[in-house]
Amino acid sequence: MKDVLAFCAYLLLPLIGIGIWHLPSIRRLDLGGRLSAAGAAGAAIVAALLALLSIASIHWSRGVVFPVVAVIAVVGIYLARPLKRPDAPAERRDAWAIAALVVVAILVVYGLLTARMSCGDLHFFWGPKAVRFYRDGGVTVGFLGDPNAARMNPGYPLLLPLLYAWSETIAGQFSWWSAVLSTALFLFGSVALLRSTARDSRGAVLMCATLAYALAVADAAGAGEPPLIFFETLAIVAVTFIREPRDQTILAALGLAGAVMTKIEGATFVIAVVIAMLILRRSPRRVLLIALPAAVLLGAWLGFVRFHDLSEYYRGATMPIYFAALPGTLLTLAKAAGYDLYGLPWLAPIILFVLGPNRRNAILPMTIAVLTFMAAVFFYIHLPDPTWWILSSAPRVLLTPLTALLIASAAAWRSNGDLSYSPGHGVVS
Amino acid sequence: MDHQRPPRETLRTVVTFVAAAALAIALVRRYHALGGPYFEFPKTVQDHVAPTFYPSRDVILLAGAAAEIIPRGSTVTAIQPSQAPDYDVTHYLTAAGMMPRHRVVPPAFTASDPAVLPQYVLAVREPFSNPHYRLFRQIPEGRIYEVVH
Repeated sequence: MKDVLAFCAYLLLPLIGIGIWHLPSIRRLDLGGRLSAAGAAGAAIVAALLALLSIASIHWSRGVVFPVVAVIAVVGIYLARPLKRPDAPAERRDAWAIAALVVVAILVVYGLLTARMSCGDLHFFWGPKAVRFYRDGGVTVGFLGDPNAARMNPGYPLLLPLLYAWSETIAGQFSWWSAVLSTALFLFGSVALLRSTARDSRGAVLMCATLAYALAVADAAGAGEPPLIFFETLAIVAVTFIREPRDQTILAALGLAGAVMTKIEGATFVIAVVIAMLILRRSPRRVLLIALPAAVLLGAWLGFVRFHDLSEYYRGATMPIYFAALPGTLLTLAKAAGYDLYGLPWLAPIILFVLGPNRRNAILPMTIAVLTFMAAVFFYIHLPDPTWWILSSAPRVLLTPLTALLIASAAAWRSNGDLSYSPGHGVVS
Repeated sequence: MDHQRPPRETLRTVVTFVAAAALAIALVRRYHALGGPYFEFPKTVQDHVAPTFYPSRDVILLAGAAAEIIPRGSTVTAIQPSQAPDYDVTHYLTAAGMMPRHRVVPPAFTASDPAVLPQYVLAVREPFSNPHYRLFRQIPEGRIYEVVH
């Protein structure tokens, strides 16, 4: 019962974030895309609420959290009216693609429920931090600054432990199984976002199969990568497929803010998106608006970390660089990137990108993929011999460029029905 | 209609589904390589991440049992004696998540004053030998020791 309740907490997130349905671009998505976007908004709202209660020194309790969440959900439903998608275009059912998605989904859920994809970090720090936050009734400096908690990465961003604490608030006890199973929701949410915005079931099939396999090889379930990939997907599909400037800005900003508050690597991702957009879109004002929430949140978190002298992990880029380590780094990284399958997770989307008739539409996500891959190399050569570091982390770190590549491969085959298309206006440029 | 599909679209369909099928088969192979049982609900979320159990998986069970036995508020640590100090962090952090009503601390046994030593030690798989501690309880995954004053 505890596990069911704890899992239901994640299922409630779309209801909490349903207000985002008032955006015209979201209204045009299918149900999967709308639920996923609302889930991202709900996750951000819940994390923000728990963080604000901690800042105000208000003890988390069901009596405090539930009424606030209920009010937010009711206001969201009011904003989202009418809940039914208006003028839904006729969509061709791709039965084979749906069947493939169902098969992969069953495999993922099986792998999660038989503990074949779990990440050790869930038990080492993501989970224990959430457990302690819940016990303390909030995020406390006393815990984060406790020398006994120094190895729990107190300087890591808080979004995931806050989501786990939300789940614990619903269930009254921490559920390790629901934490692991939430990976399925983040994965399926990512796939639904691509399928819905690109109106492309085939691209969704490749993304689902590739990320399911890569997450399994990386043993990433329950760790920070699944929600990181989810928020990154939202940001990338927003800047790739969403045409309306205001909606694109809001959704991309939500994705970047979520990514930056989920993992340290989220900051690198934000920088990659900013650079790619500045080069390709040449709209500094739009880029500023998209990146501003993430920058403010990251700045506030770093200020908090430094003010309280907590362990801080963002200074890696200022460490010495060992260029002599570059050849070995590339070789080891290539081995890790093979995912024990001769690099098929990369080869298939690269082939589809090359074959794609609309590669121009895919340049932005492809640039993000290249930049985030280069960023991984850049950080690895800060050690004279990063072999162990690469082999232990690269399968997870490379999920970000892999996701961007998968989205690029779908964008290269954009259909006239995708959200970047507007008759008479061409595609997003 | 498939016969109206442009050749390039057909190529895309083939690449997509062949790759997806290969990835799904590879996923099943990976699951199989991680060992059985394949249709039993595992005891912990760490049970099948490797063909053999990691010690940290046993810490989950050991700490879960210890949480019901050891007085609340006590200081506790967890180690695998033969692997110390290399894997200490993974063991005591795992215990920290399983024992929220206790004060889980890093293993440090150099103090001569028992008053500053952890009150309980969870020794996964192997016996723990230290003159300041005596065996308190034993379960299949390990032993619980208490400090001697």
